[in-house]
Amino acid sequence: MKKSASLLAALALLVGLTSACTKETPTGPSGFYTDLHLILNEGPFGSGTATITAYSSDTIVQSAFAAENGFPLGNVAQHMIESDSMLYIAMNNSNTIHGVNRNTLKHSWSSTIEQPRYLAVDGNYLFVSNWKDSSIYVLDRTNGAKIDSIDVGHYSEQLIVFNNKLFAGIGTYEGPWTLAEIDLGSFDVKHHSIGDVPNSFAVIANELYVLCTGDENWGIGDDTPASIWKYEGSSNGAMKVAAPGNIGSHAIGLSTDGTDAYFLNATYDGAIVKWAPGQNWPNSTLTLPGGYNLNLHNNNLYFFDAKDYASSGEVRVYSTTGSLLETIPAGVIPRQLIY
Amino acid sequence: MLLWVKHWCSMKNLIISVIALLMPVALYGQADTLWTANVLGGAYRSEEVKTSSDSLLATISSASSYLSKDSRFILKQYTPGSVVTSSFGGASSEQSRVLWDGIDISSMASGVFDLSLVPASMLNNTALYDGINGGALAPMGSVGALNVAAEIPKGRGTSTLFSASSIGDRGLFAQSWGNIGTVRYQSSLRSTGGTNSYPYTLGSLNGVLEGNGYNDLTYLQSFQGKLSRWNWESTLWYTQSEKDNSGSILTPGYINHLEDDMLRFKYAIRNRTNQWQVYLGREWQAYTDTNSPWTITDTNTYTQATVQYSRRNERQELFITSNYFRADGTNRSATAFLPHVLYNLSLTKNDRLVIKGAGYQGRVHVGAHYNRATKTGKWGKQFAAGTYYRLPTLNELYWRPGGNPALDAERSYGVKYTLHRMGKTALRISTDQLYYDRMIQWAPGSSGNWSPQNYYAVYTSTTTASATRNWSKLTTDINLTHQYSRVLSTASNDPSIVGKSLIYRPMIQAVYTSEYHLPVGVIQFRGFYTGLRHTLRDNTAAGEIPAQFWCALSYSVAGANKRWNLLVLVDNVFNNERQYYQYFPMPGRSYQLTLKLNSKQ
Repeated sequence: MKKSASLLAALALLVGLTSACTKETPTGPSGFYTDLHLILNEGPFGSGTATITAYSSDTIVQSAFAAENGFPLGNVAQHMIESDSMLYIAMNNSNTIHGVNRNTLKHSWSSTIEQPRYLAVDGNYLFVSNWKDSSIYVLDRTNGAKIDSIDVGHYSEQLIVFNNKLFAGIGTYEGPWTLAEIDLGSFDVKHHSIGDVPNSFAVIANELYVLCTGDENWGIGDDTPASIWKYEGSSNGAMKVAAPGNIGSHAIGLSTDGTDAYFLNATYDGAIVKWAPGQNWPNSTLTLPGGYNLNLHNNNLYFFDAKDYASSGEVRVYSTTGSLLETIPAGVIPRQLIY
Repeated sequence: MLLWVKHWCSMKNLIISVIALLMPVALYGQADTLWTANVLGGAYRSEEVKTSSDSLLATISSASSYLSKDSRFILKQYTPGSVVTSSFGGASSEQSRVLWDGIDISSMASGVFDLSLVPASMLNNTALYDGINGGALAPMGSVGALNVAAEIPKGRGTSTLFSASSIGDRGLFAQSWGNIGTVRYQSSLRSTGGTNSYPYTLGSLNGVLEGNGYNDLTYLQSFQGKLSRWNWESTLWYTQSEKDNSGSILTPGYINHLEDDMLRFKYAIRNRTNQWQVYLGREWQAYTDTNSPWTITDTNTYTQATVQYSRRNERQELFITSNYFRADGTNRSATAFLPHVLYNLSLTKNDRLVIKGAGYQGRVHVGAHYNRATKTGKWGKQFAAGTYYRLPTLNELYWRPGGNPALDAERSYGVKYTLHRMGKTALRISTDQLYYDRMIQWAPGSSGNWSPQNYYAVYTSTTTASATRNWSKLTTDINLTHQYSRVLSTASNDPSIVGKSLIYRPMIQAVYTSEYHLPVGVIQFRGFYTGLRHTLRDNTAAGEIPAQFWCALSYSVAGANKRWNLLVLVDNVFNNERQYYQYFPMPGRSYQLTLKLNSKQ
């Protein structure tokens, strides 16, 4: 009896220790935040913290991450992706990647990557571009451990996995700019020519398109215009398919419903324009300007208005014809939505 | 480093040139200790309570840390010794100005003045002009002014001070003063520095703050003398500083580095009714930011040359000032002239009128201020009203990108009422009510560039109440400032901003001081309270810094006829959490030791 009691106690201790050491893992489809959309807010630069706004038609929770975890997200949120009930969030100034349960927003792990920018997932790999060195880092997405790094020759930006390859925009606001094509098995890198300042990707009719912002020099030097490029295969690289006539025209936030593309026709203060492969650069706008970023989901365009960057912003939901459907109050500098 | 060496060589040449020019005048002058203070602001100044500890700390403190004992002074800084932006009585940093013997020396490039680089010893107890009284006298500002001076102590002597703190601060101050022949002189050297390495707790966050070291040096050299019927005074004021900022505790590993060198020279000559002042200032500043893929280095210079003529008699004063400003560097290259006239007239014994005007950027700006001060027994009261302007800075006009050359001056209209009682129990209540039109705010422009705009109409109210009581061994003082502000409209009438208070202004700020003279030494308790502040323009909870309270306890003792003085100070006795910027924690409990040695008086 005594022996049994000792065994039970040891078992209980073992179970207790195991559960205490286990990190928060996805708990399936249930959770307070499961059905809520999540808005990622950059937060004030330098001082202050990024936040997540969780909302549905009848619920809105500001600073949801801090409310659930008791500590702030960090300074300047850059990018957030969802995969298998997990959220991965890149915190630019805080040099951190967070792994977070999508359903509960409970923090699972953090990993230090200097100046992280964008994220992409493939299998067990979490890819992180950055503005500190020429590597794209490869993390284990279950615990954030660094597995590998891929040298792409320069700072890296947006990432997308397409046709079993990782594509990365290379270069920041300073060139040289290329489109990097990375083999997901060998991590071999091939660079293709691309426009100035590659900004965003979209897959339209199973083809990969890249929107380049163009070089913007704020009146100090000459600008180069925005452009849209189509990836033509590993041998042919990318080809420019549309560009504005005016070198002062810039664009960000390429999004698609699978057939048409939408983007903002200026950085920081853009209006939504519509474009389809084969068309010239669009000149007419669907909405008023004021956009900081653009997402698209279920034929709704999510237009992020950062207002004056020193007060709470909002997300305006437009139809693909430009009708305003809804306005959602957000945090400081909203930049992305997870549906 | 190369930049610094190159710059130091040019600054050294400038210093040597100025001293060389100065020496003949110094040698042939005659000493005169009757260099009277500027009489203009007599009715406008606001006296402070200075304790024994304050007197000792004023020698080594910066003006910003020294003024924190006054609730009218609104301070914002990242860590001790870091760059300080400040304002006096409900204004913004750009609206309050720093004067040197009546000459506006706040930068017309940035609009602000880093008071962490001003020795507190340059503040006398009438340096602060609060509310619209400051707006009346400051040539370029609208609310609040601080008038610094480099006064030469009486007699002759030397003084040396050492200080050290438990968070790595070290300070040295050395001063000598006396006569060279018939010329009065003073030389002082002040050097402070620190590592700012301290543990912090902020809510659920804790750790050790690192990477916020600083050091600065101030050299002050003054001469006074007499030339025929003219008194003259010349002062050289040089500061050099280097400050690191590691960013907030949410941004580990981030360091930016600021170097600043400033050489100021002022020469004044005055007889019974006339005064000429010449002021030359040259600043070199380099800012290096490593928090990006590029190491950003901005190097900027700023030059000010001012000539001022003033004429005064018992009833009126006239100041005619000509200013030249030049701002060069990475982001702007601009020049501006600013002729300025200020006329102060005593209408009656109790009534004064100030009229001022400035020509700037092709426009004329006029301000006017009426002040009535009366006394009945121990009670005095003052009423003032007027209209004021705050001129846009060269950065606001010409910053690349985003500067707005079409920017107009801010216009404000204000009234002030003060009631005070003198005597052992001194009471004072003073309130300023202001309406601002076309307040300047940086906002995103249509081109995507941030650009300053005449954006807001704003109402502000600032009320300060203070009570001081002197017993034989005990002195207590409490001062409390209440601020209220509301944005009445914006250019776009943004509903998320209209109706909100201006950011970073605590509704209540209070300081309590109690000083008791023990049989040996003096003990002082000082408590501070700063109310909740908003860091976002829409005043949402996400941008709030909570109210904070902390207190300091000090003991000072002197011996050998005050030839040595020792001060032991415990700051933030109860280890309270406090911050001026979000996620920049100030130190918890810390200890400071100060020793001052004086020559025989």
